[in-house]
Amino acid sequence: MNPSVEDRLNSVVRAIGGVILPALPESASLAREQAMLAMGHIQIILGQLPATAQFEADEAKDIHRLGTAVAELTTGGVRARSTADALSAMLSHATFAESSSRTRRVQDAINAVLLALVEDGDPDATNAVHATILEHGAARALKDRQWFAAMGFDSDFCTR
Amino acid sequence: MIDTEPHLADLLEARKARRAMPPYVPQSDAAVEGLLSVYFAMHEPGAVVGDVARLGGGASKEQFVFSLTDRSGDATRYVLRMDALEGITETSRVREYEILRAMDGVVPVPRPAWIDANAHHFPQPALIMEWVDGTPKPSTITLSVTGLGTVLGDPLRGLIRPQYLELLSRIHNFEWRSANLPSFAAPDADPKQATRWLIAFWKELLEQDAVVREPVLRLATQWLEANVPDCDDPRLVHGDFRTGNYLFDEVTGRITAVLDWEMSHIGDIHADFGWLLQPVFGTKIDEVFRVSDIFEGAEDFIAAYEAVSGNHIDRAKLHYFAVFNAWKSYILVAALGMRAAREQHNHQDVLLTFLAATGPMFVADLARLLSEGDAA
Repeated sequence: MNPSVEDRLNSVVRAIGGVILPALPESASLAREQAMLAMGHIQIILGQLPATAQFEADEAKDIHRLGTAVAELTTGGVRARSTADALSAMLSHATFAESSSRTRRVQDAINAVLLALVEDGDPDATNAVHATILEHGAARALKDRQWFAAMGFDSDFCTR
Repeated sequence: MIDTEPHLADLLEARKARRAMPPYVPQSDAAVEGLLSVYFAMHEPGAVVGDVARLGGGASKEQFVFSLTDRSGDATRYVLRMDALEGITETSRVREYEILRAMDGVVPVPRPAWIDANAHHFPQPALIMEWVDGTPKPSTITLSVTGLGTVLGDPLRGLIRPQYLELLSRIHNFEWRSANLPSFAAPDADPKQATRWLIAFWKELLEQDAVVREPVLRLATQWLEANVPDCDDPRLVHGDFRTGNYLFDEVTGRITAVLDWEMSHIGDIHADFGWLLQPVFGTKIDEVFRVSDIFEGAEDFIAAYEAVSGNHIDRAKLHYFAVFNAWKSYILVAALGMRAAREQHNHQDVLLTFLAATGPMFVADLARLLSEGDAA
């Protein structure tokens, strides 16, 4: 039987917690902190592992939806139109398979549209694009915060 | 050249050259002891370095405590604070040295003793300051690397509250124009210069280090540039005076030192409030949000501060700096921190990637704040 990713990561956590940490003197504060952080990281990754592919695919789908809306809403001068056209073309010819790299490419193209809208975008279109981005940003951030809730930073998603 | 303080503009240029450098190798205690021994052979002949030990905590600098025993046998403890190649912040040891020296006697601070600003001796720019007794968190908290979410609890909250207000007031009312702060520039060209400089500095860091182009961040950048408020009376801004960044005596609750001055600047005091009021720097217990676990909500903090300091907090400016600080926080954790970790240019990559998970909290704050319009 091949060892699964979960088996291997669990064994790393046990090595850090059961062998490495106890061997570190109390005075080795940075080493102890980093060992505990490493364990925490891996435990959270283990919890996320079964859903990671789905999370990244969902993220890519969300940004694709936003990109489509931004391209459709954008009107204005040459710069605004050309960047919106480039965004549309990217969305329709998205051949790069990996979800996270697709997300980054679409974000770059949306960024170019936002810069162009300042130069020669129609004011109404600019406002509509901004509203759409904020709406998407809020919805996406909610999902991302839930995804990282186990980190313990976010008082809206964790209890003390 | 970026339109920001000249010293910081130089810093922004210099950091570009570090990008191509190989992974950073953390300093060992033995290596640091060797460096210190040679350094003090030149600067304090006859003094002996001992008891070198790495300090935990923090998210940007390598820190070591050591003792220096002079010829008469008197030993003094010091802290060596040294840059990594890159980190979660981009700051100047020169400015930190100057501001600590200027604030000595105004508020309790670690006294700065020596500086190697240009890494002539140490591998990276370094500052040596006196050790101050105290703790940044109650001893009941076993792991809180960053100080985020530190719960002081009672009775510490009540003991620290009046001191905290007094110290923040003294910082904001400090007569910086008569202080010796050569690397700090006075933003006197026009009432918007102080904040314009601030925006330009952080925007350049975002441009240099962005790992992804988050659309909400682009909107925030555009909004901040288009809505810079006037600052008619620039003051000293600490930049990060939250719980976790001061030391206190756990028995008496007495604050023994205000730390982490590296983001201090001359500008708008609302920047401190926008920073301190962020949810991530407070606690939420039984649905009660406490600013730095001291004040029960924003209004409690602001009213108490106004009464002690005599300074007024303008709500429209507070809204602006709430946007600014959510934007800046994202840049710190999701741009600078992530870039440093990816380049392996820091000694705490594992912490930086952990902290980067706070990024969505700041995107959520920005989306909410920008949806509210120009002012709350």
